Amino acid sequence: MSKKQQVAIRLLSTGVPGLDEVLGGGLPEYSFNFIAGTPGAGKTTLIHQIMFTLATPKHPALYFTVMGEPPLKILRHQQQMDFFESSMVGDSIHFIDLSEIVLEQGLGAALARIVQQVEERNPALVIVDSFQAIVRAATLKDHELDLQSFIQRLAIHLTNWQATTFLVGEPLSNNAQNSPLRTVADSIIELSQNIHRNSVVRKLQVVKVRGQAPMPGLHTFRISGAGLQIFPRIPATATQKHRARPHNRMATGVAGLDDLIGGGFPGGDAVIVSGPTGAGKSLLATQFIAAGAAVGETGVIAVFEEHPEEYVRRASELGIDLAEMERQNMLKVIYIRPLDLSPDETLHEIQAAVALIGARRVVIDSMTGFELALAPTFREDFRESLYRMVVALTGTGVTVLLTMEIQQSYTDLRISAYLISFLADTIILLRYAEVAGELRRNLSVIKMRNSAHSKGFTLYEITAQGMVVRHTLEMQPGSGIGSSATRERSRQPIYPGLTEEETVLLQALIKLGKAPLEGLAQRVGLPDGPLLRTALDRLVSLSYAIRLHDEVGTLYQPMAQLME
Amino acid sequence: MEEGSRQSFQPTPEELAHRLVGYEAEGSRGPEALIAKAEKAFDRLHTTLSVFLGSKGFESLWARAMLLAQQTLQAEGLEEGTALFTSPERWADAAGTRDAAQAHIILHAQFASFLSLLFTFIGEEIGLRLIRPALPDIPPHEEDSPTEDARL
Ligand SMILES: Nc1ncnc2c1ncn2[C@@H]1O[C@H](COP(=O)(O)OP(=O)(O)OP(=O)(O)O)[C@@H](O)[C@H]1O
Ligand SMILES: [Mg+2]
Repeated sequence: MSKKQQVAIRLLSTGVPGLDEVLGGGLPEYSFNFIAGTPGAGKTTLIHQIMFTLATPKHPALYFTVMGEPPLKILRHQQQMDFFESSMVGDSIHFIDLSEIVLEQGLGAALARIVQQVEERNPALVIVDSFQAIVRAATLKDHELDLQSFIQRLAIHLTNWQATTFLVGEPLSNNAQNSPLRTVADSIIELSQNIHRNSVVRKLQVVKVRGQAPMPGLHTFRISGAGLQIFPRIPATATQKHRARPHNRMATGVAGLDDLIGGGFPGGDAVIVSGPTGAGKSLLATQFIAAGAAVGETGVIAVFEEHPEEYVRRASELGIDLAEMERQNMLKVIYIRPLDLSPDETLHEIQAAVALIGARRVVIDSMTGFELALAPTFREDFRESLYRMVVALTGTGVTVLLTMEIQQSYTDLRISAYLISFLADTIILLRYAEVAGELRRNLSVIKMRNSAHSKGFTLYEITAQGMVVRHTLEMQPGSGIGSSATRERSRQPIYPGLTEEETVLLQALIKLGKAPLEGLAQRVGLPDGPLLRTALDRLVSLSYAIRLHDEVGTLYQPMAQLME
Repeated sequence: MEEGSRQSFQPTPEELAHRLVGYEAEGSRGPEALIAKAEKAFDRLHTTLSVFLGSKGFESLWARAMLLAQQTLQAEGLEEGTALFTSPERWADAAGTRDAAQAHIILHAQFASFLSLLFTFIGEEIGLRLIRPALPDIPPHEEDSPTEDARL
């Protein structure tokens, strides 16, 4: 059999930042689309943005208004937006009111009017805003044409006339009457908004797109004078563990530290530096960036602090001129404005900065500050989004250093030890300890996935030159410093064949006894995704756990004992 | 919109009203000719804008503009009797009661009021674009190009 010839479906670029990506490449030409959303969700604005991008005098857009927002008001409001080009009105974009026809003459007449206009103007785009009014009219009166047939004929006619169509309406879930649309529509885009105290959380979901694979899930978006901007959730790749790793080492910039960790952080690692306030986390982070700049490696610092000037000033006290590095394009500092940001939006900003200057080093200072800067509604999304971003960045060989505030004891972590274990390739713990009756700063490398490293505690100091690891003399755990918590931590239980993450997962499962996937996901603070599932598969295949199927669903039961 | 495109050719509502119900030739032939011209202009506006506003939408905008026009005409001492002029159906009846000069002032104020109300909502640039098909006698060079050329 010969290879079949495929028709190439042209994908239209919508002009809405982020939307093409979420749609899976763009909007299929001649598609029949439904844009659903609650009042004020941004439907009309979205459509205008697309329309002003795609309409031309030869292939204009026809915008049919049906009740809802009156045409005069739509024009009044939309002309405030940056994308609005007055010169396109009347040439490339035609507004046509259908309200009276729908009300007085019914669906058949409305269809006839649309058809007549389409044949006359040969549009590339046809919009009906709001379609809900047509749905309602159809139920009010005994029309000669029922809704199902109306939609069917509209879809066929507009497709034949090579128009890409958008119907605007209420969310499908709220409205059983919309069901004929569900089947006819080639794509369904749902917009929603949640008002939470002072912040509005807007989300967009592509429910379906025929013929291509959209990015699943809810993507946050923002409306500003520039229109909609969508922040696609970064997809987590299941292959993180098996990614090709660069073998280079990234100098830390802290004198003495590189020696403890085999020459620097492995390139492409996610490094967590944790410790109590004042331990020197930001210092280490700043030195790490400066060390990169010294060898021509660009960096990005995302600062989540109330007073960003302080951050720059503190660095300058060490002779590190962040502002100058920025001027030379070696560095981009991102100050995160508090409270109204979604994690995806923030992470998008960080990734954009990384792409812009080709950064090899990224600092997020601090994760705790980041989480606190988010509106409460966004906090749930935080871990997953952070995780996705770190995977995406390290996957391209960027080394990411995250700082995390902790109290002296491990149990107070806001972000669970489980998540940290999954997230980080390398963990450096800064602490205070009593040494010979004196409170001294000490540092330990408690995990390094991709390298051998020193296992003990090493004293460090903070000097005018920054952090300096002074004592190469190592104190072994049990030698009298460090709490029992750290000692426990440094003795890893041994389950043959398991990676550290799988061990953590197994321990969580042992503590839970028997648990469904979701319970386990919640316990370890990880999204229910490919990573978790792969780890569980391994536990099962190595007989550390069994999978049970009962009436409530699948449960996992540990077959090993806690070893500590 | 940037400054430049605004400044170029943007007739005021008064200038536009003048084009629609101009006085020169018709004035000498009495108010009937003037009214006939106004009716044609009204029909053109109605047809053009109803596409976009719906005819009910157009009519309610017109009604609002007539109310505003009457307030302006009070200044001219013409408010009594202007009620007769509120809709085209009544123009013909009203014509007999007025001389051409007065009829012209009233009609002119009505159209200017309507256009100015429209522009209040959507701005003069878009407003002008929407009514363009109703203004057949604007020489094309005068209206189109300075704006678009400047942008290119
Ligand atoms: N410049 C702006 N900055 C921020 N938000 C804006 C701006 N302009 C408009 N908005 C927001 O956009 C939303 C209006 O969007 P739009 O009119 O497109 O909604 P819609 O879904 O069509 O609503 P409806 O169902 O009422 O027709 C409002 O929530 C408004 O707050
Ligand atoms: Mg709307």
